[in-house]
Amino acid sequence: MICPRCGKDDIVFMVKSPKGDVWSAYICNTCCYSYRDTEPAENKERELYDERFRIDPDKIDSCPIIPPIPKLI
Amino acid sequence: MYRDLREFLLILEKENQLVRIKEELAPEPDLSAIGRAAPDTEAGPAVFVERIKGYNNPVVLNVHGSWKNHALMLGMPKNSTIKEQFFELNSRWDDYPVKPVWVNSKDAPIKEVKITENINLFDVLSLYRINKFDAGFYISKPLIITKDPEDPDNFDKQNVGTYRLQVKGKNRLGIQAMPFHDIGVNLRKAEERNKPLPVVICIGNDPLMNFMSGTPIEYAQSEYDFAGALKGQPVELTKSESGDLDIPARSEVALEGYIIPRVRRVEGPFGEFTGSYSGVRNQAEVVITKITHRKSPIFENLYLGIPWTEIDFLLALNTSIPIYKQIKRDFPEIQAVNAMYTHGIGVIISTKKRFGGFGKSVAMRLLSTPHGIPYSKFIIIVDEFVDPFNLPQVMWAITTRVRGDKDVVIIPNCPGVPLDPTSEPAGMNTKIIIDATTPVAPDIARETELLERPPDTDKWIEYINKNLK
Ligand SMILES: [Zn+2]
Repeated sequence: MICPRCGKDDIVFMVKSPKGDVWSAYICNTCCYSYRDTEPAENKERELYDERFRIDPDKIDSCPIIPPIPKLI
Repeated sequence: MYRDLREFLLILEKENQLVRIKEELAPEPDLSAIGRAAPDTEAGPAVFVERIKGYNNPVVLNVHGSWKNHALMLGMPKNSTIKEQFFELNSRWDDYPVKPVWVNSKDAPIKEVKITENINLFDVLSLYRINKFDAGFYISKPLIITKDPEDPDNFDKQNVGTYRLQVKGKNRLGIQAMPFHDIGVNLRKAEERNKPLPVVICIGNDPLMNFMSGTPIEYAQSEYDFAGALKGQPVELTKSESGDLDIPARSEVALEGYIIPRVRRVEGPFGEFTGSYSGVRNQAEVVITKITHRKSPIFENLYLGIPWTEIDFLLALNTSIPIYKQIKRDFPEIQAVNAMYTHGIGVIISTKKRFGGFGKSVAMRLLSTPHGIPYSKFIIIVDEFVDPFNLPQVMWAITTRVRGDKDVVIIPNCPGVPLDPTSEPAGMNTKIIIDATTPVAPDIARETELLERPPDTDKWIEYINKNLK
């Protein structure tokens, strides 16, 4: 499935509702975005996902690293 | 005094500061909207949601989200003023340390249920999206307990802090561990040795523990000893199942696991206390290996939005008191410190004047405290007879005391906090000082004579209050 946020075909099933079978939650293995299938379409569908919050999967590695990884001693 | 969250909720209910919702709600958008709504109401009660669609357990929101709840947390009458709460906290602060007591696993409610395989956070916690463009479901009110890997037997160096957690799987969380946070120091020491850092994440805690975990105290001071001082009785601890950590025995849920060494993965954005979204960063991750919890565990979480929301009450007086203590040591003229605005980015200090220009000296002393150096950006100094917690009085001081050419100072290119949206480049900022005190010699000002309160005013306040139906 296509990730609403980063556009990669990398959405996987995460969990189904512990009580009853009333919802499932999914997560993107590329950008770690997750959502529940009962949320509004703007949280679930690529075309409707707000432009301001989309991310480019090729730029994730260049995001700042917090905290920095120290040298081994 | 209550001993845990459950006992505190009973007090809130008795004092009409808790609303129960019995009908089944959706995780989104109901829980987010309730978290926003509760502090916007006049009473600012906690809201207990008994049933959430698809989940096993209840959620409680806004436990700290009003001055009434805050006063009850301190065991004070619910209508205590902010200034009264400030001075009560200030005096209890000096009771530090009150050492905790340890209870056996069989006497610790948090050990009632133990889960050691097929870990699934969703079975225990009713997780949901807090703000619409958060990267996922977040745990926003945890106590996270870690030890110094170089000094694991030192109880005082054990850290209890609150850091945001993004749910990334049934047993996996992203964690924001800033290098200047105590957990960042512990993680660095573990990663230098390529060792996992054991952590326990406690949820549904004694409200004073949450209050302490957000307080900027020194690295070698214990949050547990402080919480005991503020409660006036020791907190009850027990040992974690693994990792030899000391955890509150009466919290609702303990998630036990470790931070994976030398791994960072994408985290965020998350709607933060600044009222805007944080950026996307590569951050550390936690694997959960065991869960222990009370029966029917309550998931306590908090909403963050444009102030004021619950987070602002939780970061108000615990930001103000340490700053007050630090400045008062050198400048006994200081009367009170209000550092409640966006975690101390905005600060108001009331002070007597030693000599002309003293207000500016006080502001510069604030700007050299550990918290003030990065955070404090907008500083207002008022006379000793102005209540810094009373904003109309502060505005009066600004409008009738400030001479724009002499009393407003701008200091460019100082340290700042990256989370402040005006910090540009991130980590730098400009400081603004407004000295709204009355000039004293050798400074000169026009003669003014202040109006005085008529005699017996306080008596009449009491009379009027008593006769209000
Ligand atoms: Zn994605």
